[in-house]
Amino acid sequence: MHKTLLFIFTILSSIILVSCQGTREEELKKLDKLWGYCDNPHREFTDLEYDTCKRKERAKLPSGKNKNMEDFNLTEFMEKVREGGFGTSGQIKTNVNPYLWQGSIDVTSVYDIKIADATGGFIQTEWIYDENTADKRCLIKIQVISADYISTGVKTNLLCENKNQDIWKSDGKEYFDEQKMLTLKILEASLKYSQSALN
Amino acid sequence: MKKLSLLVSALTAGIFTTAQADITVSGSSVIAYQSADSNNNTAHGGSVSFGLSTTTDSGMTVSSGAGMTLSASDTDGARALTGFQNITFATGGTSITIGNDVGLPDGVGDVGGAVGDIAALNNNGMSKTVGITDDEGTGVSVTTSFGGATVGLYYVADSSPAYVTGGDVDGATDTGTGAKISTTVGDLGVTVGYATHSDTSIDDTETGIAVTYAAMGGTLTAGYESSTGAKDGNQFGIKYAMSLDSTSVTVGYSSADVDSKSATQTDVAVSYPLGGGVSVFAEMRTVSGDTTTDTSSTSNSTMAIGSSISF
Repeated sequence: MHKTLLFIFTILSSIILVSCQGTREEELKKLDKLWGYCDNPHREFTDLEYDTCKRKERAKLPSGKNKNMEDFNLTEFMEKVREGGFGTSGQIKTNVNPYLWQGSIDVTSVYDIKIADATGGFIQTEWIYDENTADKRCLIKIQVISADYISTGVKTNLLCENKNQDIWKSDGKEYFDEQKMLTLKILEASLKYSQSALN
Repeated sequence: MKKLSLLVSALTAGIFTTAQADITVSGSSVIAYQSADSNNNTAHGGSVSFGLSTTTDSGMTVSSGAGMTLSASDTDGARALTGFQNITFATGGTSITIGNDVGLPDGVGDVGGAVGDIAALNNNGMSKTVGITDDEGTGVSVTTSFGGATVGLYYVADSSPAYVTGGDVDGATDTGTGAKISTTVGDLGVTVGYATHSDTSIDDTETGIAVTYAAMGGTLTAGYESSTGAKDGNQFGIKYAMSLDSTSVTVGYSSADVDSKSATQTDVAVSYPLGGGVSVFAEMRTVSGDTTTDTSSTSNSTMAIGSSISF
């Protein structure tokens, strides 16, 4: 009986812990740099996955041991195939969903835009400053990657720099939560265009 | 320029209901010539693994995985289907894995190994090494970030589940617990692990520590671990990995003193990338001291030369 209670307690405690917001991916990447991606003590690999990981690592140049270790994304690939994204030349055609594009424009409209390539589906803002923190600046990059109106059709990237002795340098942080929220905001903004098209 | 605060408000202004599902795939294959004195063989195998994940409306990622493999070191040559035995829930800084194949944090200090399983094939090996009787089963693990450290807590309710689709949560006689913490001390990476296993026989504990440090153009890793119970003793290991242009060289050394049996193991591994996911490698393992029984097909010194391909 006590084992059941312990098991339930462990799961409940876990759920409480899950509610704590943090930066697990950042922590994992820090550990990757120290231990290597495959030997990171907190990346849980099966024997099968570990073998493949080490073979990938071995095939990389030493300078890129920890880069691009993520697996091939079959979902994205199938989306591109379904969209007819691969021409006979093997080049990926540029297909940009108009609702996602317009939603991206809406979300970034409050900032000065440096690049807005409707053909390629790419938006980049100018540097965004905060008057209270003059030594920090950020910019947003948005890429619409799908011709279909799907939730995975847009990717966002938030890059920030800190000023140190008049030199701007990347803060080295990855803003996963902020990027996710930005994507959700774009999807929300694109919804009205989708609905108005249906009406 | 607009203010950064506007950006922040834009980021947090609303939530849109959506689901993001992903299927990832990776694979690899290997072929090698393997030698143990006069016993020379080829070894070949490969695997394909699938990662399955989706994201809930609240942003929680739910993932699982499966795969198929033919292990190059598996002498019975059986192809295996693996996975689908547990599910991981992750949000923010925390992830929880529930199901079978939940592993206890043993082997933290076992860092001296530098070769793959093919070079270890037909090697006599050290007769006794540190360990616990069983290190995985049906249970739950939690990993979270805490005060600059990454902390993992593990509980296995049934180390020997009767079937792969479930386990006995309250009636099993063999259970395990453990904890693992990783942090940094200056430029030093430190991981400490503790695992226990209990069954109807003698209970086991294992404690291990590993440190890693970038030194002399490479990475130096050292570890120490001890266990009590079925395997009573201690073990230490050290490994140094470096690159010479594109060639990676790794040297590892382990020494174990367990149940009055002492042995050492030395590994050397060299690999060179050819591009396109292809690499060639040469590896050697040598053991001395109290090894397992030497036979005509095994040796204290074994080696492998081959090529692996990752897809």
